[in-house]
Amino acid sequence: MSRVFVVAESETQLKELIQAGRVLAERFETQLVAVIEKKERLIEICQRCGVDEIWLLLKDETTPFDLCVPVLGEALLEEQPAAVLVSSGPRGKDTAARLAVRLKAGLVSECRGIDFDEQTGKVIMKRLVFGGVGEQILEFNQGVVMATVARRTFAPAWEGESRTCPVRELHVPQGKVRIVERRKGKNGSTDLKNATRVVCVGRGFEKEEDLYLAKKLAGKIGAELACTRPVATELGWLPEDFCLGLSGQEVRPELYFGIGVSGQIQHITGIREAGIIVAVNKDENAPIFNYADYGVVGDLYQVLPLLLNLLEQQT
Amino acid sequence: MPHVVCCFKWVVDESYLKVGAGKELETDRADCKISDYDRNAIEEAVRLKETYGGTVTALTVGPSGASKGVKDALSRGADNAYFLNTGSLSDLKPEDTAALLAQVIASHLSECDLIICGEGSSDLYACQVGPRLAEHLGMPLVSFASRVEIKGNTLVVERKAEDGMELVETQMPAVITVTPDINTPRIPSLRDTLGAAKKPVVSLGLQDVSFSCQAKTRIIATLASELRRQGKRFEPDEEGIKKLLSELRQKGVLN
Repeated sequence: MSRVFVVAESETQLKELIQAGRVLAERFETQLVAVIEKKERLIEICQRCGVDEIWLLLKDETTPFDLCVPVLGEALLEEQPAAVLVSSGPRGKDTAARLAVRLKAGLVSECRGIDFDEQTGKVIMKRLVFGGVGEQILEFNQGVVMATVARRTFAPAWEGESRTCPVRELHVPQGKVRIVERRKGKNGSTDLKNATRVVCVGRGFEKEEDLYLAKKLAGKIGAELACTRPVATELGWLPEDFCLGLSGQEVRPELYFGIGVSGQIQHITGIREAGIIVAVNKDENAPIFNYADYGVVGDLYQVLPLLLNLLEQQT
Repeated sequence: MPHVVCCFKWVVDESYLKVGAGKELETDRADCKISDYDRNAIEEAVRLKETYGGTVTALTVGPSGASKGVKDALSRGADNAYFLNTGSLSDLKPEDTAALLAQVIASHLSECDLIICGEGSSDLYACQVGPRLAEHLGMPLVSFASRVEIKGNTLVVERKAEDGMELVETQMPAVITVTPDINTPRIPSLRDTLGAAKKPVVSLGLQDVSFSCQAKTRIIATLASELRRQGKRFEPDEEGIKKLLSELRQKGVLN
C-alpha cells in the first residue's frame, strides 16, 4: 500500500504534520513516513510520535532546504506515495511546489482542513482565497494527494514512549543556490506568533514618534507590538516582520487591539483566529469595524491617552 | 545587460466580490486587476533595468480579458510583452499556469537571464507558480526575495526564511519570487499609459502550445468567509472606554 509522507523543514511544524499525516494514513490504512533533516531533536520527535519510518536528509548548512527536491523527488517517484504533506514555511512551500512538478501532482497550498467524501472516499481540503474573503473547498481527483498545511490547523501529535523505526538516509548535494548568511528576525517573530495580546498600529498614526502611545499600551497590557503592511513597507516605521496579514504573520492572540487600522481584508486574514478584536479608528466607515468585536469610533490621539490613563488608575 | 522576464496574473479584484444567496462568492461581475504582488514583480524588473540596463519583458497567461493587464504592465515600464491568450479557459490552476508560462519562455524567451514572479497571486495565493516554473525550466529558484542585486552573472538575494532572513547567492539564469516589501510599485502617468500602446506585444493562443488540462483537483465550492463579529460600539469618552475595559475584563482577556 502506498504510504503517507510528511516533510518538515524544521521542528516548528513537525508534530502538527505528523498529526495531519496520521489522519490520512489511518484512512488509507497505511504507514506514515517522516522526512526531516538529520537532527537529534527531530528524530526524537518522530520516534516518540509513532512515525513508522524516518527519511533523513543529509545536507550542509549552506544548502537551502528545497534543494532536497531532486533527491527526494526521485525517491518519492520510486515509492509512489499516497500523499505528501509539507510544512508551510517559505522553503516548505518551495519544496512542495517543486516536488509536485516531479510527481505530476496537484497541490493544495496552506490547507486548513482535511476531510473525506463519504460516498467516493476522495480527499477534500479547505483553503483561503481572495486574501481571505473566501474559502475554497477542493477535492483530489487523481494522483498523489499533496498539500502544505497551514500552521496550527492540526494539534501537535502527542509525544509518548520512544519507539525505534527504520531509517533511510538521503544525501542532498550542494546545488546552485547557496546560503551566505542567516539573520534571525528583528522581532523575534516567534514572540508575535505566540503572543496572548497584540497591539497593532495602522496608518492612523500621523508621525513615527507617536508610536510611543501604542508601545505604552502594549507595555501596560503585556502585549506584543505589530503593524499593518503600509506602516512597515511604505512608512518604514517598523520592521517587516511586525506585519500581520496574508503575506505577513498570522497571529492568534486572545486580545487584538487595532489602533488606526483601516482593516483591509489581507490584514484581517492575519488576525481571523484572534479571540477578541478591538478597533479604534476615527473613520466610522473603516472596514475593521465589520470584523471587530468592540469598536471605538474616535481619534486615537484622544482615545489612547484616555485608555492609558484608565489603565493607570486601575492598577 | 540582463533580459528580465516578469510574469503577472490578471485577477479578480477581491474588493468587488459579491456574496450570492448560497454564500457562494460571485466572481463573474467583479473588476479585474494585475495581482498585487505581481506589481512588485514588474516594478523590480524595471528597477533592475534602471540600475543595470537591459530589457524587460512582461508575460502573462490568461483569458482574453487579460489583454487589459498587458497594457497595464507595459505602462508600468516593461519594454514589450508576451500574452498567451487561453480564450474562454479561465480559472487556471497553478500547475496549468506554470506549465504554460514555461512553454512560452522555453520557445520564445529562452535567452532571458532572470524571471521574476510575485510571491503568490492575490486571488489564490498558492505561491506555486514561481517554484513550479523553476522546476519546469530546470533553473535555480530563490523565492520570497526582499532585496535583489546583480553582480556579473551572480544574483545576490535577501529573502524570507522560516525564522528571519537569509542572504543567498545563485547564478543566472534563475527564477525569483518577490515579497511586497521589495519596492513600492510606481503609478503609471498618462504619458506612460499612452506610450504603452506603442510597445510591441506578441499574442499567442493555445494552438501555439501543447497543453492538456490535468485537473488533479476540482473546486467543489468557493464560499464567503464568515468574518463578521458582534461589532459592539463604545463612545470615545471616559465613560465609553471604562465600559470597554470592564467588558474586556469580563471576557477575561485583560487583567
